[in-house]
Amino acid sequence: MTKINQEQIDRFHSGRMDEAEISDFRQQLESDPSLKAESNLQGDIINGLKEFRKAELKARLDALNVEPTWVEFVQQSTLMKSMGGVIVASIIGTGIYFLGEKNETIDSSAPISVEAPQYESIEYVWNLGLDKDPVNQNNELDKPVLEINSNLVASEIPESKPTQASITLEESSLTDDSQVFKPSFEAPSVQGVEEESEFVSSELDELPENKSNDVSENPIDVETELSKSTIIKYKYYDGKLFLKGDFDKAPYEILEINSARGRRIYVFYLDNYYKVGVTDRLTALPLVGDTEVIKELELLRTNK
Amino acid sequence: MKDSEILAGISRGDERMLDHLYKKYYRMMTKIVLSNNGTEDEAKDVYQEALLAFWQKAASGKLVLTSKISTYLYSICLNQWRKELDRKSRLSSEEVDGEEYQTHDAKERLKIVTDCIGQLGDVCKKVLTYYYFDGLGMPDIAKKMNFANTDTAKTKKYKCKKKLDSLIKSKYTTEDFFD
Repeated sequence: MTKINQEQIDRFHSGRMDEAEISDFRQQLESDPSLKAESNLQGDIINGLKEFRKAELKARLDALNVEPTWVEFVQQSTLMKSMGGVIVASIIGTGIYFLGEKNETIDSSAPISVEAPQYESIEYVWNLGLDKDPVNQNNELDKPVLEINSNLVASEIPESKPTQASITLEESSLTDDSQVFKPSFEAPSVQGVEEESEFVSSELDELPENKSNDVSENPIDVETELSKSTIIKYKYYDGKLFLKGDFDKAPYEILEINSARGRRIYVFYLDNYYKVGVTDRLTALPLVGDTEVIKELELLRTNK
Repeated sequence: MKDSEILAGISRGDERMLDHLYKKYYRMMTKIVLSNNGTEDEAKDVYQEALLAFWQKAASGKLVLTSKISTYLYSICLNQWRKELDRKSRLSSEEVDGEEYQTHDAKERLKIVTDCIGQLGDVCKKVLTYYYFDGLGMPDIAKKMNFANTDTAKTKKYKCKKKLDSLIKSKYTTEDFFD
């Protein structure tokens, strides 16, 4: 066997031949039994060397510690990854919340519509318009004009609380510094205001023509009972007036005067005026003795 | 460490790259076997075989990697385990008697060769295994073994191989290697 053949066998079994050489060498193996025998021997020897090296490397790998370190465990753990994701999301969310709040700006070129919370108070002034027609003024009371203090800033108003009052801020009412909200105002419920003392009083209260819906459009309910006595007795409560007297002898007249101070009721009977007060007990009507009041009542009754 | 750095290290025969890859992907690769009715030992064996196959190809410069190393290793592991499952299913039938006999004969021959390799010195073992298993060229072997030059590596390899051949041939007759 030549040296060239030995090199060929070596290159054949170590995978260093190209396709053409492999094909040529296989033809030689078929035609030369001694070459084939030597090739088989060399094949086993090289295979043995490969297995020896493989066993050596496997022993090296077996000696390695494949248990993850604490850092690797944290990096590979699904739970840790999830927790890390939650933490990162929380940090980002917090950052956006605070940074976004600081950078919030309001476009002052358009009117700002603000939903006022129901139970928070607002500084306001009721403009009742004393020079306006009292009849029209009644309608305006249902839709009061609210003026926002210009010191208020938009960011102070909570965004999602329930509301009963709608406030419109015009651009002219805001100063340059007031484009940012500052939550400092208090707004009592407009609908919850019932006492007159909360409103600015005016001379309107004195006008008998003032007929607000809650005093002028609910005439008193009168019920009578005949008796032989000329002394009239009455009961008056819950808007109901009960009269007892000899009304076959002479008819009675009722004068009802509504004003800001409330409802005043008088009864005219047999040339006398009587004042009706609230009572749930059957009582004799008190006679009006004040001549000034009698004059006014007379004037009202004759000019009705 | 990047894949390109790992491949460069393997081509130089740097075995620390093997250690790094083994530890890095151990859980990922063994999970393939463990989640498909394999044992821990089987999973480790499949992964080691796959990693060494990758090492052989990469060190010899025959590997053209078009994906990540982990993807390549994963596909090898998957194929290895499928083959092993096929082999197991074939072992359950009676048609493998002849094959078992052949495997036994090959094992016997392998044992003879392995014993002779064990009688070689460490330098010869390394030179021969670096050349035949790792597929390293003579320049790389010379560098790795701190030889003076490539010619020294070539001479060393020739002498070591001749010694191994003579050991094997002196212990056993040629007929032992033929059926």
